[in-house]
Amino acid sequence: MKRFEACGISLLVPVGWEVRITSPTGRDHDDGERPFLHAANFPLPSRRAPFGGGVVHAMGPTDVFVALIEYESKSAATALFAAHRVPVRLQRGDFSPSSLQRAIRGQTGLQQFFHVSGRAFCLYVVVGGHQGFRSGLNDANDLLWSVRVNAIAGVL
Amino acid sequence: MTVPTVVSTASEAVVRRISKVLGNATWSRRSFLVRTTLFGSALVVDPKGFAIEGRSAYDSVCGTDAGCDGGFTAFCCTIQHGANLCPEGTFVGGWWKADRSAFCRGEARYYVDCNGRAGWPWHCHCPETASCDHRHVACVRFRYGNCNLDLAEHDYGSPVVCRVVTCTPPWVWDPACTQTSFTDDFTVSHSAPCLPGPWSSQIIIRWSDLGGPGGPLGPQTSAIMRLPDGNGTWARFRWGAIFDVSWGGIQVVDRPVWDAVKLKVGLDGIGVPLGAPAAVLEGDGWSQPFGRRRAAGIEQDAVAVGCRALGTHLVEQPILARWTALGREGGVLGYPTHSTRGTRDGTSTYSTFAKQDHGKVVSRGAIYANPVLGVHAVRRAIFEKWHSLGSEAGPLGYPATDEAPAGFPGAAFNDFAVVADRTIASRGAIYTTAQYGTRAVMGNVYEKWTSLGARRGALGFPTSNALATRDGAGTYATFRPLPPRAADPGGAIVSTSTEGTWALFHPFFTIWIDDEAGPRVLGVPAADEVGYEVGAVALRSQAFATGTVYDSSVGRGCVLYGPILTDYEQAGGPTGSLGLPTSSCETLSNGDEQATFQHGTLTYVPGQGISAT
Repeated sequence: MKRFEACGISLLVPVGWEVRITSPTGRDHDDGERPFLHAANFPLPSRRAPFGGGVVHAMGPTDVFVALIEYESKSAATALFAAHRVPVRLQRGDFSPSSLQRAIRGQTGLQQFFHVSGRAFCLYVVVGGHQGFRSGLNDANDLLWSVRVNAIAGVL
Repeated sequence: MTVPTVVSTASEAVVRRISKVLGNATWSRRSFLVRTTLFGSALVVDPKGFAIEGRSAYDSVCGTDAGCDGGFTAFCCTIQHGANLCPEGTFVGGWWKADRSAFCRGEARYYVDCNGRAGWPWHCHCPETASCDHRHVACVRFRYGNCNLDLAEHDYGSPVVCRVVTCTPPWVWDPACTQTSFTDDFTVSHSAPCLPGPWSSQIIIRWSDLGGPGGPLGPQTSAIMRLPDGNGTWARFRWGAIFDVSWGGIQVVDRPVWDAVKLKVGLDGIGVPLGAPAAVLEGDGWSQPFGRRRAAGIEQDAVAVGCRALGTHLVEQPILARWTALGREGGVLGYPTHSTRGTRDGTSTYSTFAKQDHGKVVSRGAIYANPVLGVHAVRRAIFEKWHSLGSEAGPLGYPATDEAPAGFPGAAFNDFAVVADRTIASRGAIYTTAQYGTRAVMGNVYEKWTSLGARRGALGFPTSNALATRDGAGTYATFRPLPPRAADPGGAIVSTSTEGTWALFHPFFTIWIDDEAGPRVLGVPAADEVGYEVGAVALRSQAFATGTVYDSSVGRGCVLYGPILTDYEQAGGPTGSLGLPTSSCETLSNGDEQATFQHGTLTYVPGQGISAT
């Protein structure tokens, strides 16, 4: 596994996974747009929305998609982001076909808000089908277990 | 049926398809417009799906993934009769945007999730709708997490019931939303027939952002109309209007302001809204200005102002300028209690106001605009006195000055005037003092008092309103100075049609008052008092209708009347042989009347006449 580091966060990338970060830096507007990190055990398309738009509709039954989205840091003190660690050891029972930004037959999802090191995040995971839980979920747990967040001001 | 011009530049495939759809059907004007609008929408939103893949125009209006199994949530307007608002039992859970949207005239379009509140029986289902927006309802449990962050975990597990769309940024649309922004251009085509189509007018977009027919403005009740000066457009809705003015942007009028302005809004009335309703007095009330652009610039013609206790009312120029100079709702007059209106005689306009303290009215007032007298305010005790006398229709007429201080703490006055044929027919005033209360002076009495220096003169301040003389033939008012002349007993001014208007000072005032209450031998004054010296003795006298009072060091307050007075005057009066009176006429025990003088006595025996001794 190789280490990925960007914007005060680091993680180990499981073999066969791809990790990308999208930052508003350089965009022609920045009206509160937040950066987001995407990881998947399949090739990520270049054009993606934070919660999987442009990605999830094409996922296969073994595919797993992980999104880690940072919010403005003052959100960390709110009730919605009250959990104070990166979610790890995700289990099949944590997922639901209704916990999806877009409901797609066969897919299940998980969404958790939390804060760590004074920074607010949302973890959103989509599993493409039952087969994805066998190998993909373990990889996703390894990836999440390796996440380290530095207490830096600003963006992810 | 010809092909509508809306597609005249489209590809042949599009034209063929539209022609096919139109066929040979018979069209009402409305259905034609609706359908051609749909075609336009279809072309902009989903040209490929509409023109090439053979989807209906109606389906193309809804964009991609519009089926119940498409994975996305229905628009709120689809499931609640056009209302583009979060339904009861939901909260704003979050939002995302699609950039460069034709639905927002090239700007960002915002999608707002309405999440179900705990305890509400939301269940996942496909909507029963005749529209093409068949997206599911309450089926996914998801939070974008950028609104209502105080609602925590059990809430973000709540279902997304439906979606609102706006071209207004969500953090403006709902202050519970943050500016944390997520862009998902994959949803850019998502729409519904109950939402504005691509490149809709700014008016329709704003109306939809406010909730459309289910919002505070209610359903649209007019077409979009051009302003008479060509500088914009506007449309009426059941409970409001939206203006799109070239020099003022988009402005909305809704309730409660609408109820106050609906008959006057527009360039043939108070003009167009110059801004949004704004809170006044730290949220105690609200106001919205109206006006127009003139050569000199943008001018305010009226303002709608309200508070919960008194309702919303319109204050128009020139009264508005005076009210503004007096501090508007936070000033001495307070909030309006009715809209500016015309007086019963049709010559003037006025507004009434009330000053509140902790929700209770503590004083009332008014501003009147009269073409002869100008614009003046009357308030507090003076207003109440004037109001009790009939306001502008009463004997005082219209305010001729604002309330002004009268030289003593708490003392104030307004001048008034009756105007007829654009000229002042009579004048008056109301004075209020802590010592003498609030008193009105008017007509001849006022003129006489003014000629004597008014409050600064010998009489001082009014201590009574207009009173009737005992015989009912005239009126009078009493006066008295304030400190440091408070020991001065003051006086009165009496006015009758027969004898004229005259002032009474001490001691004549006291003598006359006593006479009015008692024997009534003097009648009303017939002249002002006169003073002169007779043989080195200072004499003051005052003539009355049936008597005369003489006051000197040899005889204080001597009241002469009847045959004795006649005889005394025929004998030369004070400068005659009898000299000055030393007593009043007195009735003796035998019924004779007698008065004494420096140099003799006059006795009147009824039936026999006067005898001098």
